[in-house]
Amino acid sequence: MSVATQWFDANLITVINGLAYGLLLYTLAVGLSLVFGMLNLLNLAHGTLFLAGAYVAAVVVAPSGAWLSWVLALSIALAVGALAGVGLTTMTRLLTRRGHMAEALLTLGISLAGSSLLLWIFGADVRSVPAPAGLDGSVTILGNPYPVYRLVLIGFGLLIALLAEVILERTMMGAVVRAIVADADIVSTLGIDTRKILYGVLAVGSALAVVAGVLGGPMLGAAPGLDGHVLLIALVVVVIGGMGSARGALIGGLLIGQVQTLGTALAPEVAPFLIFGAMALVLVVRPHGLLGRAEATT
Amino acid sequence: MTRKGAVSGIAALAFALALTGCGGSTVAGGESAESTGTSDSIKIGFMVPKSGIYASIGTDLDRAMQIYLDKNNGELGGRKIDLVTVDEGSTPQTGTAAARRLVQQEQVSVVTGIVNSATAVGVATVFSDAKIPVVSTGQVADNPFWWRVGWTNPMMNTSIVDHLVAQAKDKPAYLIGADYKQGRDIIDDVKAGLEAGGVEVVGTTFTPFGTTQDYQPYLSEIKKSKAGTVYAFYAGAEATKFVTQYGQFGLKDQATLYGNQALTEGNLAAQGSAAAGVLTNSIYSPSIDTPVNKEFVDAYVAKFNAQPSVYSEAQYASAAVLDKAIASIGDGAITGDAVNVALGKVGDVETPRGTWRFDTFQAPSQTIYLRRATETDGVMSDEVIEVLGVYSSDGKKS
Repeated sequence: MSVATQWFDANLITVINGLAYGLLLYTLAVGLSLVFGMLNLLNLAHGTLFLAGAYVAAVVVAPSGAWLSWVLALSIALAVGALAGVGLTTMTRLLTRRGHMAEALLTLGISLAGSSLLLWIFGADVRSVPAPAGLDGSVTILGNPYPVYRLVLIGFGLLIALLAEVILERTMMGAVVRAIVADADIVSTLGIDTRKILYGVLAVGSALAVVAGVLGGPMLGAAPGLDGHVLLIALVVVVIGGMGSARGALIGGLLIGQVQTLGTALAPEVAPFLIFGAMALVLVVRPHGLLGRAEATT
Repeated sequence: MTRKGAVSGIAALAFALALTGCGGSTVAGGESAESTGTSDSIKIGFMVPKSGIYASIGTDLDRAMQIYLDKNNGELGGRKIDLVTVDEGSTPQTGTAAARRLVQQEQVSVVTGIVNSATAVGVATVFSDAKIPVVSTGQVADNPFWWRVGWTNPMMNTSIVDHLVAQAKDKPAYLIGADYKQGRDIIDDVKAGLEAGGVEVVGTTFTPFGTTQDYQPYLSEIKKSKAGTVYAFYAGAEATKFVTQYGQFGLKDQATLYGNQALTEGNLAAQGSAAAGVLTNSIYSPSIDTPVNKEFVDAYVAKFNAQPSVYSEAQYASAAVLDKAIASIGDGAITGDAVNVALGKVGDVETPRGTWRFDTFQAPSQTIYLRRATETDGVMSDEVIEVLGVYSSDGKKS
């Protein structure tokens, strides 16, 4: 057996785990990226939405992990996320004339109020979320046990990535979204009502953040402080991938997933700085992110 | 704003968030104080975390204090108690503000509570300068006004090392802990003890404190090391994640997981069956079979529908210590100095964990138990499986 295959065998589990983590990050970050691309709005409440989803899962999912309770949790997450997205759009529209800093500060305020509200409602205790019944065990991959649920997470993340790709690249609506990212003013001169699209993208992006919180529940749990942590990593993913690009968010998510797992396993001493090191490196080589476009201005 | 400016703006923001320890959701400690009682009663400062990461421990303390005062008609040592509750918050800064308030505005005679050891170190001199004694679980170095009712690191570390050297000498050990002062102190101490006892240590890892969401990469390394014993130091949210993932990644079949009480205390419900079989050493377990403990546990369960934690027991013990000390003053004036002198002569104290007395470090010499996390009818609890012995605060076995 060559050195390469030996290394691969030893670290396969870590690589698979990085894939699961990366696709969860993608699900969270894709909405953040598109919203930024379209509105130039940095939604700092995105992490709070994720944590809200985690709490929905902690409260709604039955201890046995019954499938019905999972379906219910995901439905509530979609509804809560979509409503929150519409609410956020409405509130930020009111501040449009005051500029992007005012909008970003508004979302910062919402995130602070939101996390205090979650602390008040759910308390400071750490909550855990049981995996769906039948998926809570482990499978053996090359002699190493691995939780089945995380494999499901990989499948789900790939599905969302595929849907995003088809909708954004193969439909008229997707073309409009991409056009708004490139230049919103030109799109509105074409007689297209950009507001509807804005509301739609924020609703879908926010819903995905809450859904990511539910799906990440069995992996990350729900606890005060998780919101700030995931927001930070999502920002890094967006910066690495390039703002406004769904594909960029996918690449950024997968990259950070590996950096966080494989990087930690190989260089544990510098683990806390690895993702920022990766971000700094990408910014030096490609200042607009891996798939960001340099010429676009708004 | 150009796209380029925005990118660097966000990157800068991400760095800034990282540097501030990704705060964002921490809640600053409030200054709310609740006061009960009349003017001729004794004022006692009760400092507990009501916000921040230790808020749930604050609840445990609050509940234990209620149980003790309910049992004694709101009296300690035969005197009515005017309990002034303040929030210690989550940082030494918020704690110091609350401590000053107790000293200057409320002019309390004695203080109890205080969970966070970093806060305890910060406020210790505020109280000792005013000659106000503190009865607390907080770990503070030499201070004549500080009375420790909980545990000390040396007694926890030595007792588990003695056990491992005697019971698992042939198994290679791996140590892992959260990367901050307390974590490093404990892991380094246990490691030195194991090596001195002839146990092979095959690896030591410190994980970033407060930001590690997934322990899989570390667990993979433990797997590769072929360790048969794992000693872990984690508390709170990190303990829940570590223990759960330890089970999910199949480490349970390879190595027995040990830790001090922080690993499971208050986390068992969230850890669920993944924690089954985890061994922790502690000064307390609700399963201790004594009349005093039974009375305490029954009252606690009846009132709050929850099992008392080691923190609840420690606060109950604080109340018992104060009860006895204040009673010994009799009709004399209750001042900080008088209470401090009385605390020095308090002798044997009977609390739910057992009977103990303060040693010269003003900390208990006490029995340390080994507990196994056990699942009974779907409910997890830490059951005592072995008495490790009586240890003094400096870790000497007697």
